[in-house]
Parts: sequence; C-alpha cells; structure tokens
Amino acid sequence: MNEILKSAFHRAMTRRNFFGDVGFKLGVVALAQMGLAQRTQAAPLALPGLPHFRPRAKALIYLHMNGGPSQLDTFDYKPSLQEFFGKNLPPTIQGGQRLSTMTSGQKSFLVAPSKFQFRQYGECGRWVSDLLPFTGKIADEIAVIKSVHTNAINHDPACTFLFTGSEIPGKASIGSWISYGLGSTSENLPSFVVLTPKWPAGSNGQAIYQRLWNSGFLPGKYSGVAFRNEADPVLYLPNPQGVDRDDRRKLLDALGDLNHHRHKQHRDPDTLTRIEQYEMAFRLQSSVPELADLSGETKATLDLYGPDVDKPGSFAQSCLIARRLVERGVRTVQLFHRGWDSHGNLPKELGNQCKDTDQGCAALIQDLKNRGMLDETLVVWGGEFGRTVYSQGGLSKDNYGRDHHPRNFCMWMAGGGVKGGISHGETDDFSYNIIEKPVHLNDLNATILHCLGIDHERFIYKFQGLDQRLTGVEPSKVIKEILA
Amino acid sequence: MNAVNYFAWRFFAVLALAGGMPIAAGDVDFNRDVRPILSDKCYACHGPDAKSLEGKLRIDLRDSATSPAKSGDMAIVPGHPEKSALVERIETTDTDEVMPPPKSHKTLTAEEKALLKRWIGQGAEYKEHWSFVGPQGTEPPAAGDAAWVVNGVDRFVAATLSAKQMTPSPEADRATLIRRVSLDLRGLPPTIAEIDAFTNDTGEKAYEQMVDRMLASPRYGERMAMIWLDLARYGDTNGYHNDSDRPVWLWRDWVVNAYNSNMPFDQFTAWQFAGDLLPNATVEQKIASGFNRNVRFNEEGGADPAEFLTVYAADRAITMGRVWLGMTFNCAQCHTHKYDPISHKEFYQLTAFFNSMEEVGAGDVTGFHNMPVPPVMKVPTAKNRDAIANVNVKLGEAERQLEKGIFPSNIVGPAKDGETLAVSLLKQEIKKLRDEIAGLENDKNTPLQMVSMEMAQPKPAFVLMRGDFQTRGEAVQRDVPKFLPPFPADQPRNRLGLARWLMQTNQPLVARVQVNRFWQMLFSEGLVRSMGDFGMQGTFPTHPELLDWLAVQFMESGWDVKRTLKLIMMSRTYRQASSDTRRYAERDPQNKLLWRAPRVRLQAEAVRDNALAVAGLLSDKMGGPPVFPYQPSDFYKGKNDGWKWKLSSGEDLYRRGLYTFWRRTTPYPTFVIFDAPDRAECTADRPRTNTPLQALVTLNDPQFIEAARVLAQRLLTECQVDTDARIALAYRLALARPPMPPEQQVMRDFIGKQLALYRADTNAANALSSAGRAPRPETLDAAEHAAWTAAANVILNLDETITRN
Repeated sequence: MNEILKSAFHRAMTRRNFFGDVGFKLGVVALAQMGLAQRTQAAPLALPGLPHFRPRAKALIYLHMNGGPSQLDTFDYKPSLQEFFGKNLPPTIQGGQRLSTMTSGQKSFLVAPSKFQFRQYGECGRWVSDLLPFTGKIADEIAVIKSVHTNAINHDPACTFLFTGSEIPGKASIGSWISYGLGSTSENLPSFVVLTPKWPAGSNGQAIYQRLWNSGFLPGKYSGVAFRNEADPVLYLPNPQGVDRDDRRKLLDALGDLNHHRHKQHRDPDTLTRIEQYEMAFRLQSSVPELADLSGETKATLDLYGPDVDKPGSFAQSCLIARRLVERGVRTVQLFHRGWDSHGNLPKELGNQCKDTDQGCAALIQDLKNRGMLDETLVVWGGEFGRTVYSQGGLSKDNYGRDHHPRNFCMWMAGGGVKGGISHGETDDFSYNIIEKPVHLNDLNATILHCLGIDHERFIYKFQGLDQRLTGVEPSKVIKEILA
Repeated sequence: MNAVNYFAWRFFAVLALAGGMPIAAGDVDFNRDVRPILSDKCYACHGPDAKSLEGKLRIDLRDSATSPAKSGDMAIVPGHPEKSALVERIETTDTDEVMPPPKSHKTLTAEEKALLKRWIGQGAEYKEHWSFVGPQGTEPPAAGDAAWVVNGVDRFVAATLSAKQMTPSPEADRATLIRRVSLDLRGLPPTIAEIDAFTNDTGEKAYEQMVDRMLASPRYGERMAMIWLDLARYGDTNGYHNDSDRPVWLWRDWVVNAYNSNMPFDQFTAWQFAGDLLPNATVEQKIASGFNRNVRFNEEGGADPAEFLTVYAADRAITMGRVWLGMTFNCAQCHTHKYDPISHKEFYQLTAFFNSMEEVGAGDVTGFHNMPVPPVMKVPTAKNRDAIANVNVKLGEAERQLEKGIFPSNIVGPAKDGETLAVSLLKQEIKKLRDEIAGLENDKNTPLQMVSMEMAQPKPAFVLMRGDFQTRGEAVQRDVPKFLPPFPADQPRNRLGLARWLMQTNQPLVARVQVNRFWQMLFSEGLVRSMGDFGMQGTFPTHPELLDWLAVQFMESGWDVKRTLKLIMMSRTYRQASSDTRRYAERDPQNKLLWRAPRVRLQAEAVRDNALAVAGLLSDKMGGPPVFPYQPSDFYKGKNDGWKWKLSSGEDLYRRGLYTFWRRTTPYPTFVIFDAPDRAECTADRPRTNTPLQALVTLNDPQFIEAARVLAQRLLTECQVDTDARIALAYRLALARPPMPPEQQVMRDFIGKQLALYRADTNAANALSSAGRAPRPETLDAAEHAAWTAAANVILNLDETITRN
C-alpha cells in the first residue's frame, strides 16, 4: 500500500540524523524534486522517535539452541544432587506442577544428577560443565541467567512464544520488531537474517518453522530472510543459466526505462519503490556471495572458530557468517541450532551438541571482541525451555534422559550493554524451581530491546484494535542487574 | 455563529482533511469522531473489563460518566466542558493527575482534546457503536451527475465527493477495464480474443455482458476461493511441529464449486458450520463441514490432548468472530474484552458450541504422524461412484434372479450340495459383484476428507481463567454474546442453530462484513479499512450509508454473491480510471473518497498464475489433490529435513496457485515472499509489500524463467510478421494494451542487442532457450529464442504486469 508520505519523510530524516546514512542522498534529492516526501528507499528506515534512548547495541545475534538444552548439565551446577541419585524427586519440590505427557504417566521420577564434571573458569569463577570448555574460557564475558522461565511445555508453542512473545501464531518475531523499529543500516543485505546450520547426526532434531522469523502482523518486508546452508543462501539469487551479470544489468536498465515511462503517466509512488527494489535485488546478487566468501579472513580468525569453519552449513561457519553479517550492517541474525531435545541418551546426545557448538560460540564472542564489535553487538544464547532433574525413562550412572522443563532454565547474554562475568537468579537444589530473581521470557525480551535502545512498553504496533507489544500485556521488566 | 467558533470550525475542517478523514464542520458525531478517541485512550482502564477498571468510572457508559464520583466530581457534565472533571484531567500538566496517565504511553493531541470539549459542550450525546446497530438501508441520495450515475453505489460516492468539491476520474479505457474485471473476478488476464470481442463491441450492454461472462467462468470460483481459504485457514498439513499432511482438498474443491454455482451465502455458511448436522446430510454437506477441521492439529510428543482440545474450540469461535462478525473475540479468551462488549464468560459460551466434536486433542509420536486425523470420510471418486452404481445394478438383477428362481435355460449340470449348477454359478456371480463393490469402495486411492462429527452429548464447558485449560472457572452453557440478537428459541443449541442465528437478517454485522470483503476485492481497501475489526477499535466506514445499503441489498437478494459483486462492478465508481494518482494526492492521499480506481499489486498466487497464463502455460485443470510445482529440492534442509516435496510432473507443474500444496510451517516460498500468510490461523487481510526478494522471484525463479521462455516461443510461433508485431502481441497478452512508441523503442533496442549477444554465445543461448520442462519446438533458432526469452522476462517483470490497474 502507499505509505503515508509525510511520515516516510519524517522517518527518512530521523534515520539520517541517527545513522548519518550514506546511501540516503539519492532519496533526499528525489524527495526534494517531487516536492512531496516519497519513499524510494529499498532498506527500511527507523521509526520516528526510535531508538528511545542511547542504544548499547546496534545488532543482535541470537544463538538459539533448539529443543531445550539441559541446564543441569551445562551451567546450573548442583553438586549436592549426587546424594539423591536414583531417589524419587521429593513431592514438595515437584509441587504438583504440570508435566509433559511424555513423562506424566511415569510411576517414579528418579533424580538424575549430571554425570559431567564441572569446573570454575575466569576471574568470576563461574562453574561450567566439561561439555563446554571453550565457553568456559569466555566466562568473564557472559552473563548467565539461571532463572529464565516460560509458559509453554511443548516445542512448537514454546518456540513461538520465545520468538514472538505469544504461543498463538500470527504475532511478529523479535527480529521483525527490531527491523520495524530501528530500520536497516545495510543497503545491500536484508536487515534480519536467519541461519539454520546443520546439527549432529543422531540428535533429536525438532522441526523449525517460518513463524519463528515471520513478521506476523507487521508488513512482510520485516520478515527474516532465511539463508540456506547449502546451495544459494538466498532463494533465486543467481541469474538463470545463460544470463550473466552484464545481461542482467541490461535487462534491468530496459525494465527501469519501461517502468519509468509508465510512471510518468500515472505517478504512482509504488512503481518507483519497485524500481528501487529491483536495484536492491541486483546489489544482493553481489553482496551475498561476497558475504559467504571467507577468503579474506585471516588464519588466526579461522583458527579461532576451529576445524569446522571450512564446512558450509556448519555451526562454526554460521557463527563466522553471523559476525560478517553484523559487520555489514545487518540488525538481527537469528541462528537455529537443532538437536537439543535429549529425552533419552542425554549424555551422548548433549555431548555431541555441545561439541558441535562450543567452540563456535566462544569464537564468536572472542572474534567480536578482537574487532571492537562486542560492545555494539548483543549476543544471546539459549533454548526454548530447560529439562527435568528427574530422568525420563531408565536411569543409570552413565545414561539418562530428561523431559521438557519450562519452570527454569539457563540462558546467557554477552556484549552490547551486558555485564560480563555475572550470574543472575538462583534455583533450588534440584534445579526444579526458581528461588531467586525469576526472569520471564517477556523480561528477557524487554532486556534485549533495552540494550538496542528500545523501551518495550512504548514500542507498539496497532493491530486488531490493540497495542501489540513484543512483551505482551502483562507487565514485564528489564533485568537491570545484568546491564553494564 | 460567533467569530471564534467560526474559526474553530474552519480549523477543524482543515485538520480533518489533512488527516485524510473528512469531518464535517459543525456537529460532532459520537461514532465517527469521539468514540475512536475514548476507545483508544480511555477504555483500557475505564471500559468494559471490570478487572482493570480504575476509580469505578466507565467512560464507555454515559450513566457512569455523568454520575458524581465519591469526590462529587462528574467526569462529564453534558453541556459544560468547564465543569467536567474529564476535561480538567486531560488538560492538566500535573503528571500525577493527567489522563491518560504517563505510564499508559498514550497521549491526546490538542485536536483530540478540543474535539472532546466540543462534544461535551454539545451535550455529550452517546450513541450505540455504529456496527452493533443493524444497517438501515437508507435510499441513495439524489447526488451526482445524471449522466455519470449508474446505480446507488455511484450516488453515495458522488455525494461525498461533491461535498468536498471533488469529481471522480473518467472511465478507464476498454483494455484496462477488461483486464481489471478479469483479474478481479478470475485472477487471470483476459485472452486476446476476449479483449478483441470487448473492445469491438459497440453495443450498449458490452460492459455488462463482459462482466457476466467473467462471472460465469469456472475460474471465478477459483479466484473467490483464493480469498476464502485465507479466512478459513486452509492448509494441506496439520500446522504444528512435524506438520504432517492431511486430507482436506475435497473441502477446497467444494468451496470452488460453491462459488461457481453461486450458492447463497447463508447456505454456504450453514454447510460449513454444520453440514454434518443437516437432516440426511449429503456427502457434499459433510465435506463442507470440513471447515471446522481446518484448525491446526498438534502431533508433538508430550502435548496434552486436554490443552489442545480447548485450543481448537477457541480457534473456531475466534474464526467465526473474525470471518462472519468482524470482531476480535481472541481478546476475550483470557479476560473480558477491553474495548468491545464481549465478556470472558461469553467467549466460553460461544466456544461451547465447538467443544463437542468427535476429535483427538493431540497425537504422540506413534499416533498420528502421516496419518489422517479422525474423523475422516472416504469419498469415492466420481469414476468409482459410477462403477459402483453400475455393479449395483448388475448385483440387484442377479439377486432378483436368485430370489425368483429365474435361471438361464442353457446352464444344465449336476446338482451339488443340493444346489443346481445354475444356482451355484449365480451365487458365485453375486459374490464376485459384491467383492467388486467392496474393492471399489476400499480402493486405496479413494480420497479422504476430514469432516465434523458431533458427539451424542455435549461436553461440559467452563470459563478458562486466563485461557489456561487447567484453571477452570464457572461452568457455562452454549449461548451467544448479548450485544447481538438473542439465540432463537426454535433452533437447536448446536453448530447448526448457531449458523442459522448468524444468518438471521437482524444480524447487524454479518452482511456488512461480507460486502466489505467484496468491496476490498474490487477496491483493494474495504469501506471499513480494518477488515477484521468492526469493533470499537476498528476504523469508521469511509461511506457508512453505502456500506449499509450494500449490506441490505445483499441480504434482500437472498445472499446472492454474484449479484452483489455485479452491482458494485456495474457502478461508474468501479469503472473509473486509476491512471491519475496525483489529482487529489494531497487532499486524500489514501483515496478514501474514491476519486479514482486503485492500482494494486496482484495477490501472491495471481502473480504466478498471471505469468503462466500470459505464457500460455497455465493448466485449466480444476480440483483434485494438491500439486507440487518447482521448488528448490533442498528447501527444507535445516528446517524439517524428513519431509519431501514430491515434485509434480506434466500439467500439474502448471496448475493455478490455489492448488499448490500448502505446508503450513514452511509454505511455498514464492507465495510467502509475495505476502501470503502461513494459514496457521484465520487471516482477514494480507499485507501488500514491495521487496527485493519479490524481484528475485519474478526475475530468477525457474517457474518464471520457464514462463518467459514459453512466452518467447509463443511470440515467435504465433506471430510471423516482425519484431514490432511480436512486441505488440507481448504487450497485449500481458497488459491487454498495445505498447506506446517509446515502449516499442526500448523493447526493440533491447531485443536487438540481446540477439547480437546470444548469436555470439551459443552456450548461453542454448541454456536460456531450454529452461524448464515444457516442450520446445526444435525448429526455433536458439539465439533468437534466447533473446526473446530475455524480452519476455522483461515483460513479465513490468510493474504493470503484476499490477491490476
């Protein structure tokens, strides 16, 4: 639809003020010529009045460990649990809470302490399990929140809730919200990119869906663009066979001439926007392959990410691509790593999952830091829920499984605006209930927006007569304690 | 009138126009001017929801707003803004006192404050919300130039335009008109023959007859279904998580047929709500009831059936609210609606109509992966049905013979087990025929359809606190919200009764919501612009009397959809040109007053259908199981690898987008890029965006490249004259009009240069001229074919090609 021209102009000006944008000159000239503000920009602009205050981070990299990593075997260290091995979870702890129907029929709920060793890292002395040695090395950079909780107990509603603030489909995802509010700082790449790396064979990989990066009620241009991990990262990016870049340029010139000619008659601004989108598409055709070309990276950088960095679609390479995206002005990179749903054979599966991701996560933080980008980039790590302390299915010293546990789980944040080396919130001895400083997912989302300079309460979009917010209608709060 | 007031009024008139919504100077209208402000800024704390009510003051009720509070203050003293506490509170600069409070992040503009004061000054008259009062069917005003006006539509439109001293656009030219009507009613461009027939027809009824022809086309039902499927949240998969396939396409075909046979909308409604509950329900009626089954189904391991049964029932009530009533019932799932008169309890009373269907709540890993979710009906194909009928005739004859002891005289043989050979043979024959029927009935290729089935006894229903299935509040009985007409005493309290209640002609919303949808289909925006919200927070109609008049026409016609569409399309308003977008661009940038026809980018499916039709590639095969056109084979990698896209072959690669397999967790990417929803839930309005990814689709998607290649061979083989004639043919196929000289020039130059390039590069020429699987005449010169393919690619990417003008 036609945008309201005045507001577009206002936005254009606002954006220029905030970002001193270079690619904007053409737009302004065009606006002046027409005497009316008109949107000819391909890249979305920031909303008027946004950011609400000085942002600490310009970009967000969200490392989503899909399936629900076990907090008990990674960050929520419970040494005293060993003495409860194989004993029934005390009913006072379980408290009659809702269970998934995967285990609600179990006769007993036998406590499964982690079989993994934990050790302390960094100046902060953070306890981290031996599954995550590289993450241990960045212990002083990250803030671990041990008291995250969510509403949903099944994957689909829980992921939908995590990324859109609602279990019901149709709402906008966090990356879409950010693009809508802050616009893009890249003329050549989408402002919200999704990466879906491979995950270890044998792990229980759950399906993921478009909804988790969709714009929902926001206009579709704010949807995340899912780069594919094989073939061409962007759908239909390459020219057809028999058409090279020069041919394409000639075609776009002819097309532009014809569209301009028609525009002279009807003067519909949408036609000019379309012409601009074709030019953006042309730029994407070179900027995306450039993005995926790692030949300019130093050996030291590549080594940081480990041996998998050369493998297309690996988690390590995806982390490096995430850094390159942010470096090129992309606002939000959402990275989905699947396979964390360890209902059975947890030690083996979780071991593989951690091995696949540990070095990449740590390298990303280190790499961003080395480049002075960490201060301006917010990195978030975590799943959609945690896992139960009691075993699903059989329990032995070496093998056990864990069911979904929405009541508490661990996530970490690092970079722009976040205090490194701290821990926030506490759980009981069974990592089953939060005993201190609960952080609801809405609070977490409020905090993410805060780091990006957005007041979540004032960040609204009118839809179906309601003021829609990422953080919903119930009051939620920014976690001030973890902010730098 | 004193001078101050005069200036104030002028000030308002100007401001109102600047905002795009004309407000007449003088009287303030509560529905049009005041309620939108009160609803948005005040009702959240001073509205219907008792749980969030502040200071016991309800501003939505005049009695409450004009009663003294404990303090003795009155929020509103009619006629006396200066004595009204409301005015004091909105004007104060004291942050502890000011309304709306700072924590709400809502503010009133100076104009809004002035408007509220003026309204109180004029007596603070409240009116019932406009859409909750039935349409009055006011006669069209005697407005507009007699030579211009065709029917009531034009009179209403002319009245609003002339009040602003504005005039409509002239009529669009014939080529534009036929393309517009064809795209609006069929979702496809007109053929050259159709264009010629219409442009050469000098008869007075040429336009009307053209509209009639389009309405009679079987493509019309497909086009209408493209809209209905979004509303009915149709998908070919379960929609949650693993997202297994489900058999529901017979329902989709039923929708297409219902539109084509112009089924009255009341019947269309009743069959979908409760086809299974109709007396002696036919197969078709049961298929129609599949509508209720379009809700998603959670097959995730560990999902609690009790939870999801409540989700499905609520989804049905919400869909009914949005599609038939234009209301946002979803808000009342957790609490009483903040703006509209739907209590938390009423939501669950409504939901109770939908909670007692035979269905499973959730399936675990072994339960329903790739299994149809019951209840499912077998619907033998027409061919098998005929065959069964034939065999049944034979069987009947054989049984009659056996009964009457009539045997062919030529069979003589020894009796065995007390039976003559003739008897024994006849018995064998009967068994064979019975087996044959059973075989046909159990044909493993027999299509299935998920249908509705009601339990013998309704299940108890409860208010669910905050929507949580585990926290039950009071028990509730099936009933309808009080702001609407009461449930009829003579109807059963089930889905069928509910459908009949909905289609009573005293319903204030149903007909308005439907005609608003027809209007949007033809004008890109509804008369009420908030398509899914006719409640307090919805937008006020741009032409309220026109909306009401159309609603009454629709009901009085016996809910005749084709007739109502034709009524609108016969108007001069619809036939206006869209080509002058500047004339009133400053006074009315959003064309709310309808001073021109809109230019609109085609809907996702139509973008593809149009390209295929222009190329002559589009299959006109109707119905049947969903198809799998080109899609990158690795599209699910990284998302849901186990699932396979079963690429279709032959004609099925080129079917209309309507028939493309709709996988709800990862819908067909070309459609998503052009703003199609995932159909996880009811969608009342698709956004329409303009993005670089769309350009990549129409430039590079193999489907579009193939369409360009086939269009090129069409131009080369159907037109032997010269380059200019071929360019003209391409323009007429894609745009229904000939090219203008400068366009002709650009195309001629482009083709000339491309030809030189491809003559010099045989490999490139061969590659481009053989894109896709459709056949190619070997006689074509590869370089020429490639150059014209590039030209056709330009044509299919023109802004005008994907735009309805």
